[in-house]
Amino acid sequence: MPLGSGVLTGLKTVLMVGRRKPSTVMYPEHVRDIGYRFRGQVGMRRDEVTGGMTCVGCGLCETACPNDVIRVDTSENADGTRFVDRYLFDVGRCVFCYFCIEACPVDALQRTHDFHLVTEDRRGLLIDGQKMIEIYENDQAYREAEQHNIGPGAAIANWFERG
Amino acid sequence: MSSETVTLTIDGQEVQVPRGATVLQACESIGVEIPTLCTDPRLKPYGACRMCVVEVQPGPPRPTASCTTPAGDGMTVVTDSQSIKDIRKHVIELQLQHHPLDCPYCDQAGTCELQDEVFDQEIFQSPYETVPKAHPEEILNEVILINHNRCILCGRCVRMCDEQIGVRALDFVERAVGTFIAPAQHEFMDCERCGMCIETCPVGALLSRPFKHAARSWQTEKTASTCPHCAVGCSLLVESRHGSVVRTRSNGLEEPDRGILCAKGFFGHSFVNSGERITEPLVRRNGALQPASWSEALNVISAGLREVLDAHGPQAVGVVGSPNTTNEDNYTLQRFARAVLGTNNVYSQSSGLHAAARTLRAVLGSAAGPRSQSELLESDVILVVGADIGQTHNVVGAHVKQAARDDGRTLLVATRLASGLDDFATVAARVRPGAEAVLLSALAGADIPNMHALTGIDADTLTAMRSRVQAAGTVAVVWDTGVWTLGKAEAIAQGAANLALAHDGVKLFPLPERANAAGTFLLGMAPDLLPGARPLSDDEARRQASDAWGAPVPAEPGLAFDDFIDGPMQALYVMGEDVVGGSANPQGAQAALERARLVVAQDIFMNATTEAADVVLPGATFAEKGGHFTNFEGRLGRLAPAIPPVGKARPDWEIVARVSAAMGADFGWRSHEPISTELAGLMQRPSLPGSRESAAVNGAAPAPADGFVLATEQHLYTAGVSGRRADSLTLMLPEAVAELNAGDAQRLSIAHGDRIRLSADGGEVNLKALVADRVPPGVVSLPDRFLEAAPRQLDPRAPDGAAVRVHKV
Ligand code: SF4
Ligand code: SF4
Ligand code: SF4
Ligand code: SF4
Ligand code: SF4
Ligand code: FES
Repeated sequence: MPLGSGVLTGLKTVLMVGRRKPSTVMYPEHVRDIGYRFRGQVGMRRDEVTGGMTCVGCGLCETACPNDVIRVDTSENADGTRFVDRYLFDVGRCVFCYFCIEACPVDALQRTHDFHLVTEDRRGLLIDGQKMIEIYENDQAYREAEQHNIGPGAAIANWFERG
Repeated sequence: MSSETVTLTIDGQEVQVPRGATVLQACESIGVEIPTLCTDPRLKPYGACRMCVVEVQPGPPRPTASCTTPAGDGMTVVTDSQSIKDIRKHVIELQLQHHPLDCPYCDQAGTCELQDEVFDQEIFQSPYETVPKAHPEEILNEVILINHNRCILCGRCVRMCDEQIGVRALDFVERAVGTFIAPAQHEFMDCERCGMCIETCPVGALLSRPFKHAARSWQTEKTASTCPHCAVGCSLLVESRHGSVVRTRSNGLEEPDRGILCAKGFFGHSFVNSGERITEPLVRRNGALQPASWSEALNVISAGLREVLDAHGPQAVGVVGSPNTTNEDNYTLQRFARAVLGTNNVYSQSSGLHAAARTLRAVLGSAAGPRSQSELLESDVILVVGADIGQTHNVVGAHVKQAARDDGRTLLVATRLASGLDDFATVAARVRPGAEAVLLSALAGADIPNMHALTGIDADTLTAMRSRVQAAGTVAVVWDTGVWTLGKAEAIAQGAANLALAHDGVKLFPLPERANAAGTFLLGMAPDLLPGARPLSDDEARRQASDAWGAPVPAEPGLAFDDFIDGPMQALYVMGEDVVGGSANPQGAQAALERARLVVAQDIFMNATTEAADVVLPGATFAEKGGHFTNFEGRLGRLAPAIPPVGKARPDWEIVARVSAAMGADFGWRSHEPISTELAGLMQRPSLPGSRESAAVNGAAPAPADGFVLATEQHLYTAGVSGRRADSLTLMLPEAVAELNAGDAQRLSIAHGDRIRLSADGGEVNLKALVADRVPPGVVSLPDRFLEAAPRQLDPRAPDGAAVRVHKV
């Protein structure tokens, strides 16, 4: 091989790839679609009647979680029902196994596609039920895409399905 | 041999069981599991639920409830045929007709026997239409509620309250499908609030209101421990979560509780996580107590003690232990005092039991006790004198009721107030407060002139009691040594000793007023005693203690407490006790403490003593440390830490050991176990003969012509400082009340809830009136442990039996 041909090959690659559209995006200004099979953060359904968490405070998710992510503190409501004082979810410890979602008897916990776990402070990864409702509601587009197989993530999901 | 046991065949396996055992017990003895719902080992067989059906040959040609069928010789039992399985499944399916299956928010889930059966039988849906009952959740009293939908009508609560507690507050109401469980008259349930109905309920029907929705049963850490509230020393299962105690339950069927608790044991734990706890050391700076670090507090203490020792000698230093703390705590304090400080000024503020035990020992010798509860319950005659032990030592009271009803013991009751014991008694009489010792002497045969006027007991009743005592082989004399014995504890003990001298079969059971009062006595927390309650004057005992402690124990006994604080006191170390509030002369005691160079108070809550102290140290409650209490029988009850101490609090023994180490004497203890071992080695009981002389007792005054006699005794729902800080207990008895008979109240036109003034020569108190049937005419009753209306404000020395005047304000 003539001397310097390696440099030329390299240069050629650079020139070719340099003209293509970049694979990376400028996160967080730009967010890529992900397949709707993606296992993102655990969200919480809003209760239609009370407007709060659907959670009834049974603690089953806390029990099912293998990583001690969830803490549910409850007390008694004025009407004698169970009141969820505090629902804490430590995303930093979550391995997205979704055992909690399996366990929830009232389907309060829901899977979402939210992968925005970046914070400047680890404490930001400790989220409460209200935040989980937001996460769930912001995931609406994906849920619809999943149902109708169009919209964000559909193409990627189809690509995976085709194999 | 064969008459003692029967042999039967269960699922092809031959088994021998004692005659009288049920088929269910026979199955359990060989590990054949039979599902049950209405069975509780504490209760008699009942046969309500039909879960436990088996096929028995020879027997009726239908399935039989194994829990109520006695095992017979030659029986063949089949427990797992298909038809049996079908029946069990059907029983559950029928139960589910009314059952909401709201397990996700039912407090019983995880420990629910019905839930377990539904799982085991793999039932997912009842084939019947579900018809929930119309009754909603119903609140029965401050601490108990019932969810009728979840009730399976097993009757365990009804039987528990009747058979074990002897209160009979619950029953079935209505009939057939409309049946439900309710308190008698279906009103507010004013029972003893022991919570044992909740404990036995197999489902989430009867529930504890303080625990409601607080935690799921499987999430709590469970620690076996001992109740800190009274000297019965019931075993508790402490359940905690995230560093808080969330509930306490009964633990096991062993002595002394035999599987039951009282209101204080079941509901009285919340003081542990009370926001009022002392959580960090406080040091007095510029006249005010301010937070300090442990090292600063220890420096102030060791420098102060050193200074007092140098300037005034060891006689100027004293320590006060406490019947609220463990043997290990008290022992550490004692060793610190005698071996490091070199003083015998060692005290414990438990006056009643110490006084009674000393008197009994002087008269009857060291054979006087303590004795086991089974000896008490197996005595032919059980005589309860003075305070209602159903209030002061509730679980022993419940066992006494059972012994009288089920085991044919003769129960004689001579209490000042009417009580739940009366219903079970052969003879029940009201003794006038102040005349209890005289009554005991009279029972021993002393001829008391003017008996009726003095004691309130007429000649016929006295004869009835006396003849039963004399005819009996064994007689247990039981009395509480609590606040009502103030100033007369010796006289009452002497009266009881007189009875023991007159009748060989008499056994004496003074029931100590607080959890570890017996422990403090046996440990020798007194100026003239050593561990084992051996006299300080015993050279051998002193030598053994000196050897164990590596320092000589001074031979000179310490001063009496009052002489000490009014005399040479320059430094006082108080552990878990309110020496000011509990004093006959609080102002005097406070002044004495303020005069002293250094007062250290180590406690869990602020009180009059900590307020007067120079250094306050945060001690640990029963749930935060290991150790032992000694109960009324002399039995050790083990404590184990369920949660870490709150804030900067530390176990009491550790604090004392650290103070000692700061003074240059490190005992080398890093846990309580070596202390338990060391003190056990010193607990040899002395063998003392006793004078065996009976003595006349007096002190009873005839009833005042006008006005009332004061009766003071501990109320079921009060348990020292800690009990007043437990929310559930304060709900049951929010404030001090003076109880009056209805007739007297009417005469003075006092209504329930009116404010009244009690006055006596010593002073007066203002409080709420409660018209109560349990108080006899001419008596006014005041509960113990309410400092704002302390009986001692009326008569500092001997309030019980004092003449008081009652006015409406
Ligand atoms: S499992 Fe569901 S209902 Fe139960 S506590 Fe968790 S989120 Fe709430
Ligand atoms: S009582 Fe038992 S079966 Fe019924 S709701 Fe509660 S846990 Fe479930
Ligand atoms: S709490 Fe005790 S006394 Fe009250 S109803 Fe229940 S078992 Fe009976
Ligand atoms: S309340 Fe509980 S213990 Fe009582 S009958 Fe109903 S299920 Fe049985
Ligand atoms: S009887 Fe005494 S030891 Fe037993 S639960 Fe009640 S207060 Fe506690
Ligand atoms: S356990 Fe035998 S009938 Fe209920």
